[in-house]
Amino acid sequence: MPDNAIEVVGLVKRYGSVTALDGLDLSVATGQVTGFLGPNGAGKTTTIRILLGLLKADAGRAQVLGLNPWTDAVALHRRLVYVPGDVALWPNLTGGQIIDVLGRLSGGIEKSRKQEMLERFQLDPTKKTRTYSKGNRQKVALVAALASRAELLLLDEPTSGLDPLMEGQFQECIKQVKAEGRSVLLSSHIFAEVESLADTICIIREGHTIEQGTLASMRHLNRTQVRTDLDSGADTLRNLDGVHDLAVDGSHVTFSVELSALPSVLDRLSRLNPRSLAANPPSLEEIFLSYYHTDVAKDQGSQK
Amino acid sequence: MSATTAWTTPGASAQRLSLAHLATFTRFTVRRNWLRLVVWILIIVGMLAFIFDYYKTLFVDPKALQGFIDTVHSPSLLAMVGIISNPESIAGATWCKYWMFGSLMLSIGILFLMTRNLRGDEDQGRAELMRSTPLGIHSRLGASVIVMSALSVLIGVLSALVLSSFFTDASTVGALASVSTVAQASQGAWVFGMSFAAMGLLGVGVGALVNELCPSSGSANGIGIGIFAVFYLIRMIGDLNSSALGWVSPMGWAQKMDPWGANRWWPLLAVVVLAVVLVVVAWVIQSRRDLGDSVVMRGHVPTPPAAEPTPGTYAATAPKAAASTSRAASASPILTTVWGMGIRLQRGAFLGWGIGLIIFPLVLGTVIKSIRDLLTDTQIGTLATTVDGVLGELFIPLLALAVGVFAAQSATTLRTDEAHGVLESQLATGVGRVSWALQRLAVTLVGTIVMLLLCGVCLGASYGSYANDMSKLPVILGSFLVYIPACCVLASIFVLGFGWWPRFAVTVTWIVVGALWVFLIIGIALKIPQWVLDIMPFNATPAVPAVPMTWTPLIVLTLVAAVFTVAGLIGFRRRNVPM
Repeated sequence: MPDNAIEVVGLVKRYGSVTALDGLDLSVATGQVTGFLGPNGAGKTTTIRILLGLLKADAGRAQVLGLNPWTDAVALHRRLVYVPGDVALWPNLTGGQIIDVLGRLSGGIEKSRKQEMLERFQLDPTKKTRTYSKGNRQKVALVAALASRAELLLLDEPTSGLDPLMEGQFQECIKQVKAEGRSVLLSSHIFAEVESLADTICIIREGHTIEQGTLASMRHLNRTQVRTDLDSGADTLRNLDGVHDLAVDGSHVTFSVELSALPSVLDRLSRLNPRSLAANPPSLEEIFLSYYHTDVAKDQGSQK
Repeated sequence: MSATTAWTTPGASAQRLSLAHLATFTRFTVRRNWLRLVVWILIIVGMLAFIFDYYKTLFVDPKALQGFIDTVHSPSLLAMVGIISNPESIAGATWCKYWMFGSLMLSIGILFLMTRNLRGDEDQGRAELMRSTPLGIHSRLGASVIVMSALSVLIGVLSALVLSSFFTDASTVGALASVSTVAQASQGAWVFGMSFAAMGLLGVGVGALVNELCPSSGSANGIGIGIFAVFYLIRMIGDLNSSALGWVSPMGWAQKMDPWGANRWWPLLAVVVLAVVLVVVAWVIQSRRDLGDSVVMRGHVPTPPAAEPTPGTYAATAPKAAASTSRAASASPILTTVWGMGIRLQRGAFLGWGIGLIIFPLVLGTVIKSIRDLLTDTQIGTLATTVDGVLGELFIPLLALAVGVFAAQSATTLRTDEAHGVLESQLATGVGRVSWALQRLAVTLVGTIVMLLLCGVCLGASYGSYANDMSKLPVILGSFLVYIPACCVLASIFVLGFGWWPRFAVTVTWIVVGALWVFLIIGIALKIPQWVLDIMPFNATPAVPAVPMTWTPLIVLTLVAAVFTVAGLIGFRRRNVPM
């Protein structure tokens, strides 16, 4: 078995004059969950469709479970499941019928697992899908996918229509999938979900990869946010190495600090007798936004 | 496995052939469509049985049959249904009355079914979920081809059995089919049935091809109908000139199987070969294209990755992406109106219908000359014995009915908006329901008038230049405009349904339009009372210039259209949206 369930290098996809993917790199390690982040239109769905062999790449290389997704699409599909972000169903069939059709095509569905998932996600399988809301349509695809024992799960914003209770159930299921040594590519805009599930994270923008790595390594590249209350001496912190964006509002002081400088800065801070102290590592959201701010700034700089 | 073969590279072009899970998907296709399949079988075979049985009782009197035979030799029927080698029997009369109509209905019906299951599923995004399973690349196409081919053959076999069931007694087959033995009569029945099957298979082949070529189900159906219209037109010209041109059209092949006459079997083989070639071409295209993409008409791409307006910090990424695409970033002032939106949404339909309604009148205009020449040669026929007769009773109503279909289709876009969930957001703005509906229907009305004018100008100019008689142009133009109220009635039937039974409105509208066609062509055979036929919009409209102009029917039809529209709008104001 290859070390990586998904391996993508320099993927390019053009739609006429529009370049959707422009040298995208991505890897999903076997048995791990990889979060796939990027703003709308960054190319997440296009990437997943190429990984499914639904679209043909114009350049670059992609390998999924050791197979070529375009030429070996069918063999590959025996070993993976997919949940699209926008689930379209046949309006005159029931949810249960569609789950069975999908399961059967995927090589059989275990009745007990289907039942378990239906209960978990509280989906009524006897209703025609035209009566389903967006969330319920999504549950149909989720139940079909999570009831299977596929090696790889490709999930494209799978929870965008789910309520917080169902979101919790979804996270439980994915943790179970991971415990069973299966691999997941999870595209999502819900940072909390990615933060709690993903081993590694890939952030893309305008069709190319900005950063891929573990959350810890990304935190390492980013600054910790510190909030404290000081009676005096806040200004002495300003000139320390690694301290940025210091703001003083009465006794309330906030600043950000590079991770490498954190011990020495805290050492200095403790001598100023802080009345309160909170130091938070950057959240995924802050990391995500900081990558975009930097890129936006770079773009604006280069345009001048 | 070596790493090089496993990697996607730009050079690797075709996907591996695969029909994995073909059987499962074939069963799924049957399950999804079973009701439609059964209805098509009942309609096509049922009408055949009905007409044959009716003629058997009607033409007991040889004089009645002789009158029918005279009609068959008239140019207008020659144009509509083609040459009949053997009309002096019940079987021949049935072939004459029903074959062209029934077989066209069958092939276009199968084309629509193919589209519903192929491009339709891609349009709606349902194919994507299916294709993420181990379903073979070609299994969707394969399943549709299998199910629809089986439907064609089944209809053919049932038609043959139904006809054979009439030929049990050697003493009657002479009158029934102009043959001397039961075996010969049955042979004709099987040739008849298989000519139906051939037309169905033609629908399968054309359907497979257009579904792979076209970017949407609408364009696939449109171009598919266009192809059959061309087949029909070539056949018509060939039959009118008794030339070999009829052999150019695949529809001509099926027609020239000629049951109870030449009893040719080889044209069936030719149609089967053509259908297989078309399916193979579709197959090859499918293994080379992206799901949801089109080969000839780029532009439809699943959820195009064009920049969306994104809030906050992402906003700075939008302009760059927008600059790299040619798609309009903002709406023109016209597009921001409801009627402007209506025009924009129907742009493709206007274009397609417009092209068709230019080409057909142009061709028909040249055919009038042939008919006129025919008329001077042979003074037979009870129908349409003058140029005015051919125009008023055949060509103008035929084209006007096509415009009526356009009007109905254009009106149904109101429901399309609702079904696609875009009506809510429009009504959530300042526009009122009735105002929205009226503006969209105004587009339909203006479009209908433009289409009728197009027909009139093209038919008049074409005839005029062929016959050196431009004086007919204003008459022809006026004769087309007489059909405005009838077209409006078709559209208003939809509006009535849209107001009160929105989920069934589109289906009911097409059933009504289909029924109008059926009644127009074989109404008498179906024992529909004459008064019912007379009050149908297109029969009620005076067939000028064949008959003098009368205003009363037009006023009545206009009132009917108005009442239906108002009643529909009242329902639309009172009901839930969306429904």
